[in-house]
Amino acid sequence: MLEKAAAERKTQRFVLRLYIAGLTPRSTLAIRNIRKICDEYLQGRFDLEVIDIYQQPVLAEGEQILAAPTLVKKLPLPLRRFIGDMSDTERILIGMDLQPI
Amino acid sequence: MKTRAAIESALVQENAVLRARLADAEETLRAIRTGEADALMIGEQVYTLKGAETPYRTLIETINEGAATLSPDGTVLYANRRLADMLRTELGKIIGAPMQHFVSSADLSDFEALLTQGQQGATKGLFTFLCDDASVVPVQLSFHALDWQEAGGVCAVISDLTEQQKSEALLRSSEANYRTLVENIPQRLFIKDRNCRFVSVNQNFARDLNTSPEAIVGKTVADFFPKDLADKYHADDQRVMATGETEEFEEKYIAGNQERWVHTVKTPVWNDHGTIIGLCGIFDDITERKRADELLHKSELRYRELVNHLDAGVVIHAPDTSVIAWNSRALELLGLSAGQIKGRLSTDPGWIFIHEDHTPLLSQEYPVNRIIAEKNPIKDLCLGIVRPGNQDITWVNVNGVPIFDKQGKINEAIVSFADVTKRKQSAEMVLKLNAELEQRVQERTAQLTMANQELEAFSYSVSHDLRAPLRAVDGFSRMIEEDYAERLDDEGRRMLEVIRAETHRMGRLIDDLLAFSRLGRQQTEPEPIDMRSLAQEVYDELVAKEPPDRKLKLDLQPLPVVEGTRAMIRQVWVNLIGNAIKFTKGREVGEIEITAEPGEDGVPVFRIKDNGAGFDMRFADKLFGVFQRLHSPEEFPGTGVGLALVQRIVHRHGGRIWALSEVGQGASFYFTLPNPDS
Repeated sequence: MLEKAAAERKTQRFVLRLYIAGLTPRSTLAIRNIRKICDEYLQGRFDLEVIDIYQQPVLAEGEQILAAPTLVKKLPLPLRRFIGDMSDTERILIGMDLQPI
Repeated sequence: MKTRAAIESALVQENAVLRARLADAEETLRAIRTGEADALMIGEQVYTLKGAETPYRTLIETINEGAATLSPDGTVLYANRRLADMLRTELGKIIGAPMQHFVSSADLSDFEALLTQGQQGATKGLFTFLCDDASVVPVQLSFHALDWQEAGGVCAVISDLTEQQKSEALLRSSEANYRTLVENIPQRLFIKDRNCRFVSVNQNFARDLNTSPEAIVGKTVADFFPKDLADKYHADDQRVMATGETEEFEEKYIAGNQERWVHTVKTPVWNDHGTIIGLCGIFDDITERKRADELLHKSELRYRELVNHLDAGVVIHAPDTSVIAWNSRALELLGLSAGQIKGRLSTDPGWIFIHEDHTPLLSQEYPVNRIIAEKNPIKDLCLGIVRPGNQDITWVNVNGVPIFDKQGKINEAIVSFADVTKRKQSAEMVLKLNAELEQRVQERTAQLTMANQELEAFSYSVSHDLRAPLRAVDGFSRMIEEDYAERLDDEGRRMLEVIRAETHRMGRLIDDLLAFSRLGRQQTEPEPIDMRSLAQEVYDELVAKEPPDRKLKLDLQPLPVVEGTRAMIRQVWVNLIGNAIKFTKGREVGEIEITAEPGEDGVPVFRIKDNGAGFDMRFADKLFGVFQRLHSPEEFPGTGVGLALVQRIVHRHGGRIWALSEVGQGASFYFTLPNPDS
């Protein structure tokens, strides 16, 4: 059962949304870090969208974004949210159930 | 009523959800507190906790466009450096100033309109800005509503159109230049699209087809040319566009309803991606040139044929004497092949020519060398060609001319030569025969001369030898007459008289014969003779011998002076005048007329006319024979040698003698003494 779950995880597609606020320092850092994590751990099985809350405030409001940068993991469920510059890789991985076993 | 387990499980679930939500909220607060989140979204507003303007600012300051923010009334709240440069004004003077300040008065109302529009959305327009230094800048203004701090206003992007306008002007002038070129060259130009439809043509082309360029655009060749021509043009177009290769043709064309020849170049047209999108062509009318070429070709052919069929050999030399052209007869006559004669110089030892006397020609005497040196034609030079490996000589009659270029220098020398070998051989044969004949004639003459001499010697000796016995007879008969006359009777005395008369007659005959034969041996000593005085002298002499009662009248006209041997001519007058006196004996008055008239070729014809007995013309040819007498000695004494002697003398002087008469009407004797100088 655990093995099956682990195997499933290895093939699942991740849909991620990163909400940033223009060129603030944290925003630019967050973009860099998330890209690094995706390329390292989610090679070829992720869709990442970066949304600037300045440019698309309505979208941000819809997602109930309070602070930026915020990463929203839409898939696979459950929905998870992370706020910050994403520099704590381990925390992100645990949060996305990508903890290397 | 729910069971306890169900309530418990529901509570646990709710707990989990609440826990998650709490975690999220705590997470958010944590991020905010630690500064990991540096922007907050409240409503639709974003509040940044740390400024992030710098990159944007740098961007705006460095772009190549002017950027500004304007308040609703047009006051510049912000302007970038580029705008300051564009307006050639200090930044400080722009920010805070109304942008209207820089707008040209003509554009002000449009600007206000744009400003108003811009606050509702986005809009653009073209304007002319005035700089503080009075220079103008053409610009494009792009306004966008600026919804910030609830203040309204616009963001403006100002694009400097100066360069663009310059480029456009340059392009237009460049285009104008090309158009001028295209319209003014004598060639016809056209551009077609991929479907061979005309896209553009120049005026000259349109004029050919009696229409305007506009009427041609969009059409194809099929609309203007007959089917066969149009098909050909179309096929060429297709091929050029398919192969991508430029092609040149000389082809038929119709302009102004006339058939013409043109030289056409067609080349494909590519777009930026390397695809062929059409074809452009340029063509030139070469009809006149082609006609001239054809005429030239015909003329050249004519002359080529002429030269090749001439019976004479023709060789053309370059100024350095090398052979540049020849005909086949030349090769025959010279005994050379085309390979041997081509380029041969006059210094080549292969040429061997001889004069008519068989001496060899010196180099400077070669026809080509003479023509080039003297710069003059050669006419009728006869020389012999000694062909290689051939003993026979080919004799030719050579003519040559130099050909000069426009500067007067020799460009070519043309030498032609006709075969006269046969003629020469005939001439030589004639000479040989002549020589032989001459030889024979000389021999014969020698023989004849000898015979003549023998004959003359014989006549002389005979006459001479006959004289002796004659003298004896005469002497003795005289003695008998003197000493024995009284012993003879009348009959005897009469017979003695006869003997004496006949003896005398014989003596005269012998004298005449002697004189006649002597004439042959006599040398001629030509000297000018005054015929008039000579004739007068002879007449006076002869008249003196006549009895005093003889009535004679002489009409002596002026006579020319002639060349002759005096003694002989004297004899002629003696005999002719003597005859005239003799044969007019029967007349009351003997009338003698001597005249001279110019005859053939101006040679004088002397005439001596008498009114004497005359003679029968039937026997005229006997007149001048030796011993020929047309009268009996009883009628008129004479030996019959006289006229023969006269004829001989006249012939000796190259003249002629003849006589005309009627019996009883007198006689006229004519003779000529040609002037040896005439």
